[in-house]
Amino acid sequence: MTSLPFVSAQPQPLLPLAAPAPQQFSRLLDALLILEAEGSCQIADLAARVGLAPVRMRELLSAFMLAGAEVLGTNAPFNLMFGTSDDDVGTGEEDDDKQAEADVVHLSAHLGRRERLLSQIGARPLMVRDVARALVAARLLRAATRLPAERRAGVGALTVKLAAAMQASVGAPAESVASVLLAATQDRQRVRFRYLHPWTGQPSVVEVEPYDVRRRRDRLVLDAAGSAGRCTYDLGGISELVEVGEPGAFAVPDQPQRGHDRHRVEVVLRVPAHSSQENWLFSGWGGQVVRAVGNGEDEVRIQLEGDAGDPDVAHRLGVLLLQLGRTVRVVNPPELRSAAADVARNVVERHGG
Amino acid sequence: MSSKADAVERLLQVLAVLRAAEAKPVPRKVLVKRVTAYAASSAKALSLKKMMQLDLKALLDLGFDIQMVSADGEEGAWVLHSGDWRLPIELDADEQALLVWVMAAAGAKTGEQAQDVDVSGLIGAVPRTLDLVQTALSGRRRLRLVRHGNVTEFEPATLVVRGGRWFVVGRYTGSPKLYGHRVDRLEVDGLGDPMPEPVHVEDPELVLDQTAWTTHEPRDAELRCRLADLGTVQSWFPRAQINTHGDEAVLTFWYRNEEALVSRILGLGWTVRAVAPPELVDRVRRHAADVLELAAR
Repeated sequence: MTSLPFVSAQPQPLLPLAAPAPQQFSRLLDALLILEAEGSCQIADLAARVGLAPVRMRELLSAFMLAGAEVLGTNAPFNLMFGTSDDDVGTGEEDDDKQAEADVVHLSAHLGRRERLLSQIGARPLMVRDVARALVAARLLRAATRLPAERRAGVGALTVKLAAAMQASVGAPAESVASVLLAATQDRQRVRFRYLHPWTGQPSVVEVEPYDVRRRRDRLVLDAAGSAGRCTYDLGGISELVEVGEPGAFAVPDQPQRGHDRHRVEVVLRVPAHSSQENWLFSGWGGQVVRAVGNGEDEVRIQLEGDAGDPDVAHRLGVLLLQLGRTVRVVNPPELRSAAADVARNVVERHGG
Repeated sequence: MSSKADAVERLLQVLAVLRAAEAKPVPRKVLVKRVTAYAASSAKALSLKKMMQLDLKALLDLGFDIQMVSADGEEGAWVLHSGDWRLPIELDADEQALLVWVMAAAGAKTGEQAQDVDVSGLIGAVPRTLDLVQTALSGRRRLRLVRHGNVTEFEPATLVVRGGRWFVVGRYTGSPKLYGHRVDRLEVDGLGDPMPEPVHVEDPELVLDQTAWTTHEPRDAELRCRLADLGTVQSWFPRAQINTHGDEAVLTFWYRNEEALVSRILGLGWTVRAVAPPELVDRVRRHAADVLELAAR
């Protein structure tokens, strides 16, 4: 599947028939984007989406079909076909009248692949994935504390337009904390914050050299080093964040490449086969069945980021086991079999047990 | 054909000639010879030259990357470079410039360098299937989804981005019930038929919030945490009303799926405690006690 060009979900206001030619040309290009993405369209629907009268839409599509052939002859790419609910309309002169009655336009399949209509006139469409990334970035940048107020407001307005065009709403992923940390990593400036450990609930105040802010599964994390050495902090647990000292205060040591080379601990869990718990491990943790035990249970392997013996691994696994319940237990490594004890005891005590 | 369509065809012909030259300069005389309207024009040379200049300016204003390459005193020649086309939405010049900056910061274009800000590492992966989901949404088309080996038609209503993950909210054709699916877990067979009506979703967050899924009558929950921990806790209960009581934050909201709520509370096991209703508190305690018993063996 190749990537598709971005098409707005918002229909455009109707352009008067007498509007200047460049404006009409612009709407034609929007229609070509839609055709490139969808392959075929009802002409009336296409016209409504790009804000043209159907008669003008037909004229402009005809112009597009003819323009290349008129200047390039047989070398011109043959891109579009008009059609009716019954059949395609031929390309000969005798079919000109039928073309006016066509109700469908679709990409010609003569090349056996999806046409890049805009590239044939020298433009590269923006792809859905580019716009998707821009939308999320705009949402993050909207909270960037170091942006001048005017630019921040502009980014806010752009976010609204992109979201409407994409028919999407974007939540805030710890955005102000991420923004400050991002600036601090780029400036190589130390930071101090209150940290609520996500898997032990222990609060602390730490001062660190921030090296990298990255995404780990659906969480944002900070790789940093402080008095306790290298550590990874979950942004969801960071508050009361301030920058301290001066920019350029430290050199950043080599970081593992994102998504690679980070140490992982393999954990094998015994789980009821075909259960909601097993599905959770498959879909949320990339779990894989390593063995069907035979008594209605499977052994499922997951991976946790960290080193063997890292207390964070045990804490993270403990919370997961607590959520999964008593029908799930650790097979390997054996030292993690009681990982859920501390957090389960805490929950019992906090709830009157 | 109308005069407007003729003018559009002329612009298209100019582009076709420039594009066919594959980034080599095209002299003015070649354009005059190849573009039908220029070749057939009976206008004086000066008028024709003016028409060509206006056409090229119109294409530049539209965003085509056309460069005049002839030196002073030489005949005009133009080169068309392949450039990014604008987004098909109304943006003024400032917004266009801002978009370029945002896209660079997002690492969205391989040829662009992030200048002063780089948030590319925070964005997360964009699922491959988002292309088709977005295309279906923009064209109000159904999506053909493969579910358990069968193709079913899904009517998308909206996209939601949460914690870096993309979700699509909509309903299966013929069913009134709304669903939210993670886009990266969808197997999409292709675009389906056009939808006669758009699917209306009052609040996509409710569709995605498992604690709101109807498994029983609504109940009111009260949770508490340390005030200092509220920032962390609140993000897991976005529908909660917040009050304070001493050094504690009090979160109240309704729920219709106790099992999902229990799981979420347990996921914040060190941080939050359930206070009401009693059956919720009891269920959290019993669940944890069972796990504790197993862990202690």
